[in-house]
Amino acid sequence: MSSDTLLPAPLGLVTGLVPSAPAAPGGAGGGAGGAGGRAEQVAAQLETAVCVGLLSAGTRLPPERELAEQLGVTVLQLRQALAILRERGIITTRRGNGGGSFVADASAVSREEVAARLRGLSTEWLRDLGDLSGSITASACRLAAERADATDIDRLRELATAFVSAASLEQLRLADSRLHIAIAGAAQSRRLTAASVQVRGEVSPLLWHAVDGELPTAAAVEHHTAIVEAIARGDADAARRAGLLHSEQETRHVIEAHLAEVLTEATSSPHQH
Amino acid sequence: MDRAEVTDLLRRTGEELGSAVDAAFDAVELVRDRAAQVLTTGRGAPSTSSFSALHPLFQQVLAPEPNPLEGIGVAVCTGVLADADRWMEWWRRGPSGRAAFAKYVLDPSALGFYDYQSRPWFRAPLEVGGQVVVGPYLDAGGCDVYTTTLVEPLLLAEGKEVVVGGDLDMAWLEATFLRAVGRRSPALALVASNDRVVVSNTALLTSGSRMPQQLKDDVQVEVAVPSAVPGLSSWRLVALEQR
Repeated sequence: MSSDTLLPAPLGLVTGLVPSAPAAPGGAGGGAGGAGGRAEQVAAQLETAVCVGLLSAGTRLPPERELAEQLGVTVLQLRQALAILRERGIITTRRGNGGGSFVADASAVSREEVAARLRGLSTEWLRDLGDLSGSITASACRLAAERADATDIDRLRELATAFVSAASLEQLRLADSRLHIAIAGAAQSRRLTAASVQVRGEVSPLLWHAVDGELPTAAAVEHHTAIVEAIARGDADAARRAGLLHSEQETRHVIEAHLAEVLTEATSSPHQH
Repeated sequence: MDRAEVTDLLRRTGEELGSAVDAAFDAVELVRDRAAQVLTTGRGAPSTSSFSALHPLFQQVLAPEPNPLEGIGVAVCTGVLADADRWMEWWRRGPSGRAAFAKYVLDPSALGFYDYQSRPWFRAPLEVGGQVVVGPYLDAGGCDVYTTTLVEPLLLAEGKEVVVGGDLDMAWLEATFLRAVGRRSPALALVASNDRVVVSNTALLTSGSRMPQQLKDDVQVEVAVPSAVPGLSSWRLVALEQR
């Protein structure tokens, strides 16, 4: 049933996709660079891979030496990164025979955590993320329509179906991210896929949050079908338009979720005048 | 909500926003007064190191949370400092909430040179000769954030001028607006003079976008933000027809 992707490929996708974050002005807040900064970066890449479902719960990470090589870091830096992930509950490490580092089932984000994150952001920030997400999605859909072969299309249909039958919030989130990333994969573009992984890592935790009791599921099902069918027909322009429409709808939902959360807090906290 | 209620809500929101921004200007005034002292005492022209006397004040201004300002500082005209033609003593609150000096590329021959002296936020206060609100704009090449800058000039001596300013935290402005309106319907927005949406209570009109013509036709009520400060006084609150 689960057609889990092989480990090395997705890890390759997260490698080097986060450009070394520019140091904050005046070095505020940032790590002291060097090993600490690199480890933090690798930890963030692995966390994104877990968050978008490239690495499923229970997956065993490759041996340290191999993983370090895949991620382009030293074994020492990798160990530091794994320690950070252990601390955040993203992985667990078992010793002895059959031991190793495993992806923990920590992808579930509580509604309260998402609400707090939505409150802390601004509409402008979310719109900006939506602009990038829309550009990536639209391009990936267009190129996928031009380049996807029968196998790619089967895979996209399979993932779209998995989304329809997702039974929990968690499954919706992972199925949705996997489909989006697979579309970029069907476009045969490594960079678009990497960018897609990164953007889905930012969008998906915020997207599956109900506004006025509603999730964007119905619209997503409809849009996914339109995208996948346009790709299957090889209609690049329709695929691009469907991708853009889908992305705009996602952005609207996230912004409404943000506005609703800010307002809930503003009207429930005792505020004189 | 009927028209009268919407008008009343926009009027109250405008007053709250106007006074909130005025209060944010108080911090800029504080820096301006202190900068006037620091840059005019001592023999000869001040230098880049003269600003160190302002550091505690910058930290103090940016410390409270929530804070209308995410950045504050002083930027000089050429000829003011003895040791540099260009200098921005600007402090910003980092992700951790701690204020730190913001480093800009001020060497005109360097890639990524931030030519702040040509930017509207620097020129407008010198032209107006008083407080101005500039934005919202994306400070590309500068701090690369979306902001609105509250600025005013400070004349040190004949021909020697600096600009003192504070960058509004747009998330704070949005929260202030939403608290004042307290609802997601009808669609309400704060719009700048170039029709650019500053903040709104709807995803139909997002910050940074411009009011499309078809929505402009749906404007039911329009109320100016009460302010004497150029820039801010041209911001207006609009309510769209419920459909």
